[in-house]
Amino acid sequence: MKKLFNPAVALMNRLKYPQKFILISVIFIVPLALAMTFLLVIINDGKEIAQKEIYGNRYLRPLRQLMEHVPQSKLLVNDYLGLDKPIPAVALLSKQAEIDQDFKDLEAVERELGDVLQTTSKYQELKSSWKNLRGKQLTLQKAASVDLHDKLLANVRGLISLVGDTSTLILDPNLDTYYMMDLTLLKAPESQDLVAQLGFVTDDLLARRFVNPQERAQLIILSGLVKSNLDEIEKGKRVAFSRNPMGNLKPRLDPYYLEVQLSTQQFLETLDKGVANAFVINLKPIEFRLLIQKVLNANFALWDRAIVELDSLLQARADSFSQQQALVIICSFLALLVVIYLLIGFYRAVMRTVSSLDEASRRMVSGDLTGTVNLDNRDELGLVAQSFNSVATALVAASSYRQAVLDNAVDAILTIDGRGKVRSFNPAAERIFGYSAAEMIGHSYVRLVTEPYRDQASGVESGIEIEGQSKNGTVFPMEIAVGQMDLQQERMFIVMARDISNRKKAQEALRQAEEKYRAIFENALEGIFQTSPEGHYLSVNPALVRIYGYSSTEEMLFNLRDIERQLYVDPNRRADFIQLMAESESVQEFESEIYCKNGTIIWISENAHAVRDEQGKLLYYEGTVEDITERKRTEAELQRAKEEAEVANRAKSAFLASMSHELRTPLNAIIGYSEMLQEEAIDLGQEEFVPDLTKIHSAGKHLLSLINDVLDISKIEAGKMDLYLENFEIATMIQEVVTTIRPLVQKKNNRLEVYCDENIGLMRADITKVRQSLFNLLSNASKFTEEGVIRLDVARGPLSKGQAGPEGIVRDALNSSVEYISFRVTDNGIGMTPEQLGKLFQAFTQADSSTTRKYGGTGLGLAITRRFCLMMGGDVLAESEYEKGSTFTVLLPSSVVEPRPALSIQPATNEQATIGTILVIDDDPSVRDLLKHTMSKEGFRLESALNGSAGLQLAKQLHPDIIILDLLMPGIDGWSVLTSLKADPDLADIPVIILSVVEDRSMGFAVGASDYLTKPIDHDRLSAVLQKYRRDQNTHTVLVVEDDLLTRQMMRRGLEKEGWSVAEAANGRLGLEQISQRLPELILLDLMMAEMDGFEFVTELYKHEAWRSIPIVVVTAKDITAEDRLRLQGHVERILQKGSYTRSELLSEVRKLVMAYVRQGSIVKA
Amino acid sequence: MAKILLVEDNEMNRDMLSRRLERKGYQVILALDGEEGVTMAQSEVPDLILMDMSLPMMDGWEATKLIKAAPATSQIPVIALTAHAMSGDREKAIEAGCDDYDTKPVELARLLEKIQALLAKRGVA
Repeated sequence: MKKLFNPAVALMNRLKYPQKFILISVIFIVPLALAMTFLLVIINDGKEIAQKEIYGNRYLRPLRQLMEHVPQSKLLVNDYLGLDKPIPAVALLSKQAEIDQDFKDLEAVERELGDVLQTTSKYQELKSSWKNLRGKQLTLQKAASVDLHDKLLANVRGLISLVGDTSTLILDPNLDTYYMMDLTLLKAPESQDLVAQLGFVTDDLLARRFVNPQERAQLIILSGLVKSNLDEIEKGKRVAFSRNPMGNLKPRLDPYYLEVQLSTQQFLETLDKGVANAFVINLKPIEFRLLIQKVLNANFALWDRAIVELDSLLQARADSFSQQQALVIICSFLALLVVIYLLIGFYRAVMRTVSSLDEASRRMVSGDLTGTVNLDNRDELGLVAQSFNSVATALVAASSYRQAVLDNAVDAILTIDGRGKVRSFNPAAERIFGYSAAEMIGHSYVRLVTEPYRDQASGVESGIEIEGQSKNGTVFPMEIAVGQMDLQQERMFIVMARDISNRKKAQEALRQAEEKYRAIFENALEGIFQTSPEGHYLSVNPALVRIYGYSSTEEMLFNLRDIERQLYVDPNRRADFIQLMAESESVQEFESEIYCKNGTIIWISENAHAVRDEQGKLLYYEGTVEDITERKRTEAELQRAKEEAEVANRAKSAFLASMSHELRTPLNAIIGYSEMLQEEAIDLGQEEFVPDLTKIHSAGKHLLSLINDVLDISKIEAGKMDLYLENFEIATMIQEVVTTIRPLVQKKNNRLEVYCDENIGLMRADITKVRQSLFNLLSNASKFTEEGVIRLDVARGPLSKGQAGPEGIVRDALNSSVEYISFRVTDNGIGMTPEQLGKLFQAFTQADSSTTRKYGGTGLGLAITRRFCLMMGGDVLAESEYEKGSTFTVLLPSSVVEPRPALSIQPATNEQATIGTILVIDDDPSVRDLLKHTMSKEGFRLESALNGSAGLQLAKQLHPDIIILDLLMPGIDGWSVLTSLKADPDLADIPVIILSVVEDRSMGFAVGASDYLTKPIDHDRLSAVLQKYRRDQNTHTVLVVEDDLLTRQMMRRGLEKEGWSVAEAANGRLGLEQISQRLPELILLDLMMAEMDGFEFVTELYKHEAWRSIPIVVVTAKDITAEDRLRLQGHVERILQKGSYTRSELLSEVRKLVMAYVRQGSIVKA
Repeated sequence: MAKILLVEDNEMNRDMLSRRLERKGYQVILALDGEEGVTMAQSEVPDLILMDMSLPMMDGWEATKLIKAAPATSQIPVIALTAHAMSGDREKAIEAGCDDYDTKPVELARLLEKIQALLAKRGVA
């Protein structure tokens, strides 16, 4: 079916719309015109026929007249010539005139219609027959005249027939007109003729009154003919009337028909009776002639009438044909007009759509993408417009997309036409080449590339590298891709260019790095490998090949295929390796024994990590291998040596132990037996042995002490000396020492004075070592003093200035915030020179060698004492004046703590209140020691952390007042610590002083450091900085309201030592006075006072709004009753009972409270 | 007369101390090592035991523990005798259940004081 229409589609596709319309119009209009023409011709034919018939009818009229007049003339002639009584010739002549008139009429008609009806020859014939007769009528014989008349009549009738033929009357298609024609053309003349003949025949008969049979037969035949003719007429009438559409024939013609019928019947009856069937004719000729005349008249009347009716019918038909014709023409014309109108409308509609589409597409092509086609079409073109709009929308999208791609492309995108002219130049191109689009568009592209690339034939290529040149002349490597497109018979090239300088550089860098890596890989002394998770080597470097004893990489890779089974001596080693990798992604110093190629076993150490792809899938392991066989051997040797050393050490310890036992056992025997012998000698009265025995005894004792000293010092030196801490009564311990030393003191007539408070209380220390230390000092004093006084002072309290003497002894171990017990041994013996003092505490050194000889001893005593003191967190101070005496002071913390292992965080153990806490975060433990001195001097408590994370943890725990921070630390470095500190809202306010060898102040202050000091530590500078951050003492005032002067002073001293400003008042009233002058941060209040007691004071204080917030700590010796508590309730913070604390405890408690409240207060204030 | 058990492996010390104590009027019985000391403590039930700490076979601490663990002997005061240099010995001795301790070489006067104090505490003259 489709194929069928293909030619039509092809034809239509080749034609423009006007042509299409013309073609279709022509194809439609031609048949229409033809049909119309045919129709018109047919109508015209009918019309012409009718017209011809009308002509024929007209022509027949004079002939009808002739048909009346000629028989009349014949009758007249007959009468004239045959009758007895001739008629006047005038009648004949008048009839002749009538006939002439008829011929004149006929001639007129003939002139007009002769050609049409082809009657001319017949007419001439008729005319000549009339000419032949005329004038001779009366002269001719009757028969000849009648004959001529008959001949004339025949000619008339012939002409009538001819006219009937040529005018097509006899072919009339309508029944009414046909029968009218039949009547006028045939029946009426027939009747006329027959009746006339009858009349003519009977005329004689009537005259003769006799009818012969021949004549009778003739009459019967003729009357029969008349009769049948009449019947025919009657039949034709009926048909004509019934088939007359207008219906006007009957009323108009019926009377005439009736007249004809009646008259003819009367005539025929008369003829039948009077002539045909009568032997004797009684009819009068005249009467009969009247009858005939009557029939003839009726006949002619009908005839005339019929002619008129026929004419009108024909005329009506002709008119109807004309109307039809006009109708057809008008209809055709109108149809044509409508068709043309609609076609034009159709054409215009199509053309409007087409042209708006055309216009829109032109707009679009010219770059205006906003226009869509707005049409109200509901037809297929409307769909086309919609489609166009969709296309336009799509094009807008595509165009925006393309524009966006062009504008935002990283690569330069250019369009170059066939002549090398740049047609488009995107922003990236502008950037890369430095030309603006305006500079390039329309110009040749060649200046964008360097000379060698200008003449190269351009074709479709991709990924080729050439050299580009930018506007400022920079030449750069460029990768281009060229595509081509054929646009409207024009070939265009699309060039995408990318500046690949960076890539080149990166490649070069990569190549260099690769080379470098390769060099490292090839030349490294360590083995480098990559192994697959399955245990194959992926790559190995020459060093590894060498370590494993292979001669080439290939050989190793070929032979060593299963690391798990072939390499490790321990078959589980590879599994361990993989396990470690799975746990921590890397292994460090993974040491294993492996088989070399030749089967020897070596030790290797592997450092490796797992390499994963972006999805985390394990790709391979990568790492290094070190042959540590030698090291292992050394280590083993060292281990062995260490073990040996340990064995030796154990042996040494055992030796020391056994020495102490083995040396002492015989000595004990010597000492014991000599003592016993002394006793026995005395008992036996043999006293002369006693002095010698005493010598043995004391020599033994001396030897024992020497041995003990040597053993002690060697234990200390070996680090084998341990502390056994316990709480003990100081006074009791002193008593023991005194008891022990007394004999020695008395030996040289010295006097021992001991000053020790009975209630001095407990201390926690290694009592053996304390005792030994004191014994050493006292024994020294006894040794170097003769007949003098040896004095022992024991006291409790913090360090005083006097105790921090200037003799050069390092006292870093001492801490001003710790309570100490001091044991002071003073003698007025021989004293020491400064030189001797300097060497005093060194082991195996006495003031001078002569001393040993003179005074004995090992010289180890002081060294041992000092070491014992240091071990317990204290020290020994020595002062001496040559020949005046010496003072040795042992200072020990009242509560000795276990020495902590080095390199650990030092938690806050010291509950003693200070003016502030400093946290030192430094990985170098020596820094802490160095800082301690300055810190203590400034009254700060020192806490330290040895790494960043411990520092942060401690900072959170302690919330120190100042943090001193090192920058370079392993793990978390100082910057990170500082950042974390400043990020924590709780810690951000703590001033941080950076103390580092790194000099980066701006960075430090930027990150939030408060101060920045550089190492080595400048103590003056540090003090100045710390001064800045210590709490302003003047703002922290404690008011002591206490009537007892001693208590007041004790408190003042204690508090001032901590850096507080102290105001004193002896009673409540004075206290209020003090407060009105200056608001203290805290009040220490006694209750029992003269003038105004503590209760009253509190009540008064609370009358002042501003004073109410001052915290009050009641310190009283009074027994507080429930009532008292009630009175103080809500007004005081804390009640301290004097009796339940020792003085120092009370002071310490007060200090703590002061610290707490002042801090709290300062926080509240802040 | 108070009976003192001296557990001491060293012959001279044993001889010396026992003779000196006997001279001071005490009855002294002797044991040579820890085991014997424990046995004799049970069989003799002395009023006081002087226990040397460094003994062969069973040392003094062990012996003291056993003596103090047995109900029959647990009430007997034990004075440990330790070597001077071994500072930890005292703690160990106290820990083992010794009632007092003294260092060697023995200072007779001091030792006698301690003996008398302990005996007095027990109500033994």
